[in-house]
Amino acid sequence: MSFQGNVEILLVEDNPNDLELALHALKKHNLANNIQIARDGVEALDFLFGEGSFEGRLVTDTPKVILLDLKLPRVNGIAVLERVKADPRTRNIPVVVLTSSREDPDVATCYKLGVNSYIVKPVDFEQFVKAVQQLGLYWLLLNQPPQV
Amino acid sequence: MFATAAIERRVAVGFLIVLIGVIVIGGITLLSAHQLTTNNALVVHTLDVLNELENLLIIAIDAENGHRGYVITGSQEFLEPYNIAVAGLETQLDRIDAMTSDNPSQQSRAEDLRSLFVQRMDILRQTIELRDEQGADAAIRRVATGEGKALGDQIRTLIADMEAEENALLVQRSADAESSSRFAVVLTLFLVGGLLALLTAVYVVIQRDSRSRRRAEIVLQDARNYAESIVNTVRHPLLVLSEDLRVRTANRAFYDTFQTSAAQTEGRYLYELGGKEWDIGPLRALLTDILPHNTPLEDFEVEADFFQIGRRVMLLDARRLYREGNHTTQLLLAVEDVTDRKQAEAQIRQLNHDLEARAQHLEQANKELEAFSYTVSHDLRAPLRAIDGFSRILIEDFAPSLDASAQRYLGIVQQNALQMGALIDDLLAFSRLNRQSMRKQPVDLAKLAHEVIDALKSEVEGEGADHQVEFVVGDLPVCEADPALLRQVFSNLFSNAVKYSRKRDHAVITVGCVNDTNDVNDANTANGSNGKQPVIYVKDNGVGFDMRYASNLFGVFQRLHRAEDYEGTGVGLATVQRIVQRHGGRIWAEAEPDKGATFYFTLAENGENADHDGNGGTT
Repeated sequence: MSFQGNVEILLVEDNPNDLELALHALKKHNLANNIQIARDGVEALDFLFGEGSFEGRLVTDTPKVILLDLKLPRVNGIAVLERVKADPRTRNIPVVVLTSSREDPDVATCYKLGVNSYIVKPVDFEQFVKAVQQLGLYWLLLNQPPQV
Repeated sequence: MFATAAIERRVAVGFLIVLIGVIVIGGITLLSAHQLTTNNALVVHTLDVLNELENLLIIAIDAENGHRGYVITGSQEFLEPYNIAVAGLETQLDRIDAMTSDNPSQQSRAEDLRSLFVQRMDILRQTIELRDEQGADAAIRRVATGEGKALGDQIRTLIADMEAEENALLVQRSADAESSSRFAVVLTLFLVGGLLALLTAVYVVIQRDSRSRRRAEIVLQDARNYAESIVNTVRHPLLVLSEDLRVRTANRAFYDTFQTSAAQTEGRYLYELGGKEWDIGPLRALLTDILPHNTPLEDFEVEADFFQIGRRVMLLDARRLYREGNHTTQLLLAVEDVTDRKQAEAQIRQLNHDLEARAQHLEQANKELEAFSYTVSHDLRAPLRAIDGFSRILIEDFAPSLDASAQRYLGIVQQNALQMGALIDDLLAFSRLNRQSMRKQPVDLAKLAHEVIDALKSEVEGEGADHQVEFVVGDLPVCEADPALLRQVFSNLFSNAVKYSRKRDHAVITVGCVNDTNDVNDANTANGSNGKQPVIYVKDNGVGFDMRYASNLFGVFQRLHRAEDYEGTGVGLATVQRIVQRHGGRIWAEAEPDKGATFYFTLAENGENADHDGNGGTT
């Protein structure tokens, strides 16, 4: 898995369709360049904490936002969220939960754990923009200077 | 008993008093009789003294007469009375002396009399001697001196004095005798009277006591009959046991229950009754323990094969009975046949067990349902997302290479995927309603209605609706309810009203409250409504519906309109009904095609929300 130093979005999603739809929405607005993809909870944690296949990556080199699906193989999204929010080095990374339903009771659990926002899948760009606005990351993520 | 002892003591005291009275009367009577006899004897004595004094006088006269005749005649014949008198004089004087020994004055007179008689007899004898020696004349001269006569007169006077004294005594003693005899009579009469009164009193007391005793006996007999009838009426078998656990008596229920008789029971030891099924070590120990320690035996369970009646479970209670009458201690043993109850209890336990198992099963099923719901919400939705998402990409990014009908088909695919997503969402929300816990609190319905209306208005405006919707909020009460659930109710009812009146140029949606359900023309209000609980209504002037299909109104996925006319999943009203029911209320509707619909609901069956005087007017 390749990675660069300036990852801006960590997208954690196991469903290939959902992943493709999300990437499509972001790509359309030129946001796919600095996206790191993780396909399960373990991979996400490895990336964030510089473990496993991401051995040697600096923990302090945090993404600007994490888009986190809850239903994940191996380690689920709730567990990932818990670990991220428990560690002082990663605690301040904004986490946006991807949920399949507005009625999902897990969303309430996530808010208790300190999640910052949620997006109902499929991730369309409008929703993403709304969430990013809520997080105050709007300028950082969307109005970045044109790519060289 | 204390009362009996008191009565007996009173009777004894009464008789003692009567006895003493009789003794006193007897003594007094005896004493007065004695007094009477003494007084009478004294009277007789006085009469005797008088008699003897008379005799003495006669002696004196005889002596003088004899002497006088002899002096005159000198004939010895005349001297005879004189000689007799002289011979008897001394004796007579002694007699009088003796008889007057109790009286000193008479005694001294008697002494004087004796000396007078001595002198007088000397003179008489000298005169007679003078007659013998010197003849009649000398003797007559001697008499004529008067010396003798003076002495004779003195004697007579003295005797008369003594007689007077005795006569005075006689009068005195007669009076004494009479008064003492009168006193005795009066006293006797008085005492007899008192005794009679006393006897009467004792009689009355005895009579009264015996009457009250008779009454007490009647009461006692009554109590005995009462106790006996109770004992015989009691449906539980009862045994009275003596100290050595021998059966004294048993009641009818005992004979009936154990199918035995008095002959087979009374006088026998408890542990020998029937087939010795009562011979239970611990029971015997406990029963024996009751007597000295007065420890009641309670709910002692005996399960045994009873003679005649088979295997039964008996519950025993025992108490010590102290019999005042004969100072004996007995045992009252109450028996209860709890076989049927035990069986029923076992049955209930079994039922409870089954119920618990079923409840567990149900809980398990609920959990499975929840897991299923979760799966539905996550896994079923994933393919829908793909269908919708990629259809959208096709429409948005590849439109130029698709002809019109292909684009339309993709639009239908996408729309159906969205519709199915909405169905899944509604269904999940509906099924969660039953599991969600209710948090009741006072809710200002008017405020809530305004909030919901504001949210709905912005939504409607966002859709760019081309018709005008007017909301009218009447008086609404404050109710005990779950605010989130109630918001859902208003939200569903209002959006329904908006949806079904969108073909009106001027849609009017009214929410209000009526207190009297009689105002509401509803067939369902007859049952359970007390007419005082607030009824909330939401009224629109939309398309309404045919009341013939009203029964389908609140069913899940039940719709009264075609999907192409009015979109919807058919879950909204089912959700509203479920929420209202969870609050203990009811919901119903009335409508007419093309004339609008009104939905009514209550929140609590017992009208506990009646803190409102609302008269559902429009504003």
